[in-house]
Amino acid sequence: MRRYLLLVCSALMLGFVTVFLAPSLVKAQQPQDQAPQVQGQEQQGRGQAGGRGGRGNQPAPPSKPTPRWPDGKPRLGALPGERGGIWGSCCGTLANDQTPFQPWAKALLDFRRANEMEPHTRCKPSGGARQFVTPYGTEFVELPDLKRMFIFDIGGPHTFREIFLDGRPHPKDLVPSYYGHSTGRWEDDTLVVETVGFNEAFWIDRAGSPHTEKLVFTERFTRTDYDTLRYEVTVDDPGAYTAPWSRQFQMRWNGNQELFEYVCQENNFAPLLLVGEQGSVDRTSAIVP
Amino acid sequence: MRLKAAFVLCLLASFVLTATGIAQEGHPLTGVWYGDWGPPNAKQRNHLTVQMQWTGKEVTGLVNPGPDSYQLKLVTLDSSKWTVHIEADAKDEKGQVSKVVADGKLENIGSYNRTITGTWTQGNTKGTFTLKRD
Repeated sequence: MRRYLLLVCSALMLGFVTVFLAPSLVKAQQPQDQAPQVQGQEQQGRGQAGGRGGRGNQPAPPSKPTPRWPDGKPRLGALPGERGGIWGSCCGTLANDQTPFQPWAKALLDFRRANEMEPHTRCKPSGGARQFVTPYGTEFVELPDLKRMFIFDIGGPHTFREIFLDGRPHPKDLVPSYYGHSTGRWEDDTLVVETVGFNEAFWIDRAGSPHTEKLVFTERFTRTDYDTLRYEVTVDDPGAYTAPWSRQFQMRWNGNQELFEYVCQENNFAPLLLVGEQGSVDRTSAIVP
Repeated sequence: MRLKAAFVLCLLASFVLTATGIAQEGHPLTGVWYGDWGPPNAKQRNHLTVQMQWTGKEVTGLVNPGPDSYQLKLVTLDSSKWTVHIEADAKDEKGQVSKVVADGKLENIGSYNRTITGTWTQGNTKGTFTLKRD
């Protein structure tokens, strides 16, 4: 009888572990499994700014040619049959020492560098070109029949912007927004996208470069081969800069990477690493300056 | 009917204010500022509403929008010290021009509700002022 009870008890415990604990253990493992992929992907994108990313001492194998649509235009997104398709991100900042800041903008940049208040920590969207200098990369989804393209990002609050390719003009009375209004056209193999109508509630890069509502981004996307997307952005904002300025870098293709969920939670008080000491940050304002 | 019209007006006004609020993030002086000025020990201080915007080359704006409003003539920001200089021509009770000169310090720049405090001279009256961005 005692043996029978022991056997039943063991069977019940085994059942409990299988039904309740095992899924939890598997679930808990998932983020850890994802983390190296995420970091690797980010590093790959960063490495792209200066080369082909890390492959040890081995030279990168030659890339396949640029994939194209039946009409000959380059495909910027994934091909049918590919598991995913993410362009790796770059380097965090767009501005540098040569950037022609107006005096107030340079002073504000210095203030932001010293005092942080990074809008990403409050789940503000990346805004325009910052999509490509935010970790984890972007996915381009092309809809040729609709003459539109979407660019989805992961880092920040995991959002997207829409680019109209049907020749429409920008609306006259735009309500300023984080991603503005984007229209695109093809110049040979380069997609040229102009975006206007930005609000001033985000930073255009990690460094905290300021901008005003006069900001116009002109971006040039050229897929030079299967694995490489050359990106050039011209920042034209007479409200914050004395002249237009440009930045160029390359992004690296990762056909096996899918978009993943990146939850940015409002009222986030945690990220000491991002905004400094808990007590030193003014959290009374609902809107990030 | 009047109640309905008033409701619609309020709704429109709130949309306008919301849109204005969204637009106040770029240049540190851009926005609507509320506060007051007066001699340091005065029992009653004078209300101030100052609306400023950055054109890309200069700051323009209006003091106390409404029937007694007056334009800002000159606003300069010294971003090396975050000091602000304001000049304007107000009108006194007799309708005569009363020159306004104010010098203040921009503080709490990282906050949406940053402040400017300093000295305010209007005509022959010297005092202090405080403005907080709304």
